[in-house]
Amino acid sequence: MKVAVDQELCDGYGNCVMNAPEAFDLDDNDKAIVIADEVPDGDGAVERAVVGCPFNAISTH
Amino acid sequence: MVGAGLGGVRTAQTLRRLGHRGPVTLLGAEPSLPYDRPPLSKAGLAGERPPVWLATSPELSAAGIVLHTGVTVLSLSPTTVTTSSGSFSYDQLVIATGAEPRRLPVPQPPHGVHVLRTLADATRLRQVLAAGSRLVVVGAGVLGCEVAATARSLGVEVTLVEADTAPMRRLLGAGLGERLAAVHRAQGVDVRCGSGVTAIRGDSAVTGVELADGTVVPADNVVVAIGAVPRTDWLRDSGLTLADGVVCDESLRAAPNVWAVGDVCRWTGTDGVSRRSEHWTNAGNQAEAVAAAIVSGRPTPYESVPWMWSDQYHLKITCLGDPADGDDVRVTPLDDGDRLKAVFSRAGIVSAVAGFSAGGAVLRLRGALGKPLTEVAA
Repeated sequence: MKVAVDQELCDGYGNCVMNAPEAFDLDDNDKAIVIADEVPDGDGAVERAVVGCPFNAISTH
Repeated sequence: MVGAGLGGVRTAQTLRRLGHRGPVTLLGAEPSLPYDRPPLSKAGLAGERPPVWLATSPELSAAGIVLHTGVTVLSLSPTTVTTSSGSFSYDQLVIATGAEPRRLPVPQPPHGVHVLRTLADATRLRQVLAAGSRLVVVGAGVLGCEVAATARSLGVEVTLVEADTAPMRRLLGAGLGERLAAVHRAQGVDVRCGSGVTAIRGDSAVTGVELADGTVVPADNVVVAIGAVPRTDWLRDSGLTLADGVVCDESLRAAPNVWAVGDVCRWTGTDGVSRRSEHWTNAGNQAEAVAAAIVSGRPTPYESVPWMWSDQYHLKITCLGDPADGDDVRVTPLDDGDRLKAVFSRAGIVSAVAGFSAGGAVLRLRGALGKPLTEVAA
């Protein structure tokens, strides 16, 4: 599956990087960016990143 | 789940996500749907953002999670929670009752003294933070600093009073604490450290705050932000061990089939150290760990790297790891302004990394925790 971060909603708390460092990083403006083209369906770390985002900025499809 | 804050809600949601089939009940003390607390001292207090709901009614229904609101819990037996809304029997119980604001141990007038913990607290406080009014914030921890910053952004005249030598010193150490004090002063906050509060003046409403050094700071409102006390009164006769929190083992278990998560949980880490954490990420991580243990039937030691953030003015302050008083701190400025990263070490081993608007730089150093400082590039 693919992962996306809504840059408008992202406030740069970095919880996604803590939960799934293989999929997310923070850029120089402290906005989350996706660094994995594709992640395995049901990837536990990415699922934790989705629910662990305080502003529900992360989606998967 | 007793408690419908982040810990309780995330436990319930994770139980469902991991396939738990039995009934799931959330008992919440407050009247509203579950909401997120961190924004209450930031954009939520400034009125810039509506409440961030942790779950809506349709989401709870779809997940088969039953929420009872406005419930006061009274006592706990090994099979039953007794509440103001009747008794609830359980096979597994998760205590997520959080903590309540510590009050100043001095007499105070009935109007003008505030605490900030709940949505109702934030709504009340927002109504009195008029531009030009005078606010004294007592306590310069994370919450007090955020309230000072938000109030200042609303045009309030703010005095920030702290008994310790610098804001957020216990978390960030004296050096970064003093830099933070300078940030607040540059924004027009009167920062007064090293002086506790001895009295709050005023008969029916606040007129001022009296400090240990004898000065009186005039005030229309006071916010008391001097820490929080775990909500465990209702557990007094439960047989559980209480010591500044519900005492749990390494896997967050307080007794057979009884667990605790979030601010109320005092657990023993795999390093043998007993700790309690009031950070948002910890509550969520503990909730997920307990839900996993309940579903799998296999409790495992809880391990998590502490991660916190705080929004103050233009700065987002982050801290990764477990800094302690007396750690050596190496500060690296990242620009001509306030941006910086700081590496904390103890006996040459990296204990924590913190940053002012440097979340990416801090997180990229997560592999350095527990490693020799000499291996960390400046």
